[in-house]
Amino acid sequence: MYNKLLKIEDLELSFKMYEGISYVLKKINLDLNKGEKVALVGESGSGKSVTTKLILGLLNQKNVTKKGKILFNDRNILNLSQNEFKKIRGNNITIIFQDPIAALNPVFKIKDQFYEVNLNDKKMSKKDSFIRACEALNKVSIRDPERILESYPFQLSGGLAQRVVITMAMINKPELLLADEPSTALDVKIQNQALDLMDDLTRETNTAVLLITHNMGVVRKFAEKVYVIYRGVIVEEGTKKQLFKNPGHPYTKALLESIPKLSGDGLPTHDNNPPDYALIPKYVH
Amino acid sequence: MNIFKTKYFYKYSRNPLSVIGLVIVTIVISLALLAPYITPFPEHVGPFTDFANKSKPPSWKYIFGTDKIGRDIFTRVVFGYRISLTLGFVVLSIAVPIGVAMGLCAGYIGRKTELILMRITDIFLAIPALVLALSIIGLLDRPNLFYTMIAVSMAWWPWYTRLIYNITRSIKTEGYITAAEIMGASKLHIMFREILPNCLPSLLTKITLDLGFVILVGSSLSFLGLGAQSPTPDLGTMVAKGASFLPDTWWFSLFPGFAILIIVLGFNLVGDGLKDMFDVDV
Amino acid sequence: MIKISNISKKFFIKNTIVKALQDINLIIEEKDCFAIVGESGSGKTTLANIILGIYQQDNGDIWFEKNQLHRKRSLYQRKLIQYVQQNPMSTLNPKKTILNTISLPLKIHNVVNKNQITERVKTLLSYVGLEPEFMVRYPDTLSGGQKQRVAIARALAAEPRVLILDEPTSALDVIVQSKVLNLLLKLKKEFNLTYIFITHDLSVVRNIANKVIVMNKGKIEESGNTKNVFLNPQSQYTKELIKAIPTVLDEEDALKPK
Repeated sequence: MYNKLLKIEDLELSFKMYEGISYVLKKINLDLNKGEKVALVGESGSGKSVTTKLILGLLNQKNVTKKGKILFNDRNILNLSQNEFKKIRGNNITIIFQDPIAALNPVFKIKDQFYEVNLNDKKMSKKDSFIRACEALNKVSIRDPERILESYPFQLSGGLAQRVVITMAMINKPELLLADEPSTALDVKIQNQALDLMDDLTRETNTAVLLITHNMGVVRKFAEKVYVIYRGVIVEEGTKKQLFKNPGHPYTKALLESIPKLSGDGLPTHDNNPPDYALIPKYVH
Repeated sequence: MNIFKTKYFYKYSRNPLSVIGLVIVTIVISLALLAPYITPFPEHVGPFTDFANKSKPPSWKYIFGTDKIGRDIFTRVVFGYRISLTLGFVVLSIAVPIGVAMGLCAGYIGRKTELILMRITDIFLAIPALVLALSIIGLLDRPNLFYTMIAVSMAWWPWYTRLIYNITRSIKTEGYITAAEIMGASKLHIMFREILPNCLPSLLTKITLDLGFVILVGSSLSFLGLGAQSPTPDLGTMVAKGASFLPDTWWFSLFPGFAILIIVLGFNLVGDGLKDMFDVDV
Repeated sequence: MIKISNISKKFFIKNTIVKALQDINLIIEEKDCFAIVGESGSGKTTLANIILGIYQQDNGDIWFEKNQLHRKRSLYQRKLIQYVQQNPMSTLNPKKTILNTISLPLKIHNVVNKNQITERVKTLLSYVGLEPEFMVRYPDTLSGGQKQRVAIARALAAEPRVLILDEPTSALDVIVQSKVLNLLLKLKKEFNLTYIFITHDLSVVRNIANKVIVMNKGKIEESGNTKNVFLNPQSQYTKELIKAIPTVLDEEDALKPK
């Protein structure tokens, strides 16, 4: 029994608001091995995005209540101080977001943003940072990296920006890469390229990936293991093959059936009164 | 609908200063409205002299003391609030509609309208409010409260134009505006029934903050002798007239001055509270 | 029913000329569900905006039955072609109730008398599966799917003959998307509507459109019956596009071009 890279145990999250308490995560359990590619699939409101925020220590407001454990290399990081998190973020755990251009600071050139990231690893001069960034961009088949580094984010196309962001996230060889809907804002072809790139880079450094998405097609292309989340509850867990060949939980089945198929047999009909999926027990393959 | 139970009031009351501001403003407005009934000497507001009781320091009978000709300062301060608040409301009733209408038109109708209207607005914005008001009053024959109100309104409308223009420009590309255009809604409808309602939070906040500033500017003008004329009680005039008698009869200037401070502070606190509650930037 | 001939449009962005549309020709027949697919920058949204009268084309004409459509059009012409937008979050005025929002087209086009408006709004909401109690609510209390339903009800209010739907379900969750698409097909049948459906999602097109054109950088790459275009794509671009679809079943993979 070797230790897992990331183990989330009975994680609970609730927000206190004017209207009452909102329970966003209700005792979820999830784990990742080193180098494993795991997808957390759910629709909006499922709680999948806040999970990444908790892993990065980004939810610390007064009205937030957290319970349970997030074990990263056997260390509980759920309630670490911000100083401790600063050491981990950008180094051991990095994240890429849905809209690559929005994730980059619009008033700084790409080379300056690489500099910020490189500093996490060790102190280096701007010149060395530039060289290091060039090498990294070259490796991912970006031609004329010098021009890219001297550009501002708005000058890049969506696809190119995503490749830059992925490269930035991987340059310090993190142990865990969080990808929050990394391809939703992009066209399908570019989406595939971005996923391929992530695959190549993470394979090389044995980086584990936690992919957050609502797109089952992306899950099928990229993930090895899948967790399906519905309204703060994990309803199904299994390998990619198990999930797509034999979905167990009614919610997973509903998700897969709802997707329009290339065979063109028309749209599925819907149950007007679906059951409360959260009440049906979790299906484990 | 109980206003105190709404989500808005909950958010507003998170900040104790905002609540204090609201209390101050409520008290001042109530005092002003009920002035004739709650002040001990309402007749001191008109032509009245009582040299036997002149320059008396604060006492139980005359809470703020009496002035040079024997009038009760407390009564006059409360009536002075009436003048200040009237000034505030009248000025904004003129400035806001003009400014809002211009801002909407400049922001939405088209490039030419935008250029003309905004250039005019920029010219007015370049001149400080006090200077502009002074110039306008200078053009008119005798200074009085009415002229003061007109002058200050002229200095004030451009700020509303700028505010509404900015909001209009940022909203006009929103989906619901495009939807209304495609549907065939008239420009007038879109400006006043689609865009304007979305300006209300910023507008209300700015109006509240401005009430304080208008009163301050108005008081400054009357301090210079340009506001309401004797015997009408005007806070700024009272401060000015009493200034030469400091520090012996300190109560001549202190209480009116303090009264100005309180009302301006009150409106500022409420305005800031609204700013946080609506989460806007004015 | 709608004839588009030789439409071209250029934009000037930051000292460069962008040829958004080049010589576009197409014919949309009554009761079609006509899909326009393409990646971002293909010109599909520009084309929709020209049909809607938001932009003016540089060259070419648009014909609706026997009449030409210009950017400045009559109220009646506006009534005939209505629009459902991509982003449900910004398509409803946050300061207006649902009743108010749906009443607008009813008032502008004088569809019913003043005192019948509330009743008609109730009916329209029922068509899209929403209860009357939604009338008094504000958009911020509605989910994405509900907002989009309101947008559809609003589009139907003017009793149009053509609906232009610009990525109407792209911002919605998968299950909600499926329900809304079902609703759209049902309404099309019930009210004999013609749909112009703009999207980048080929799987959706495969299941709801009878005709499709594939756009690439302002030009039409391929067009025809949906079935033919998918089973037998002629252009390399179309083949690449179909191959890139994120399918979920092995059977689907078998249907992709080699």
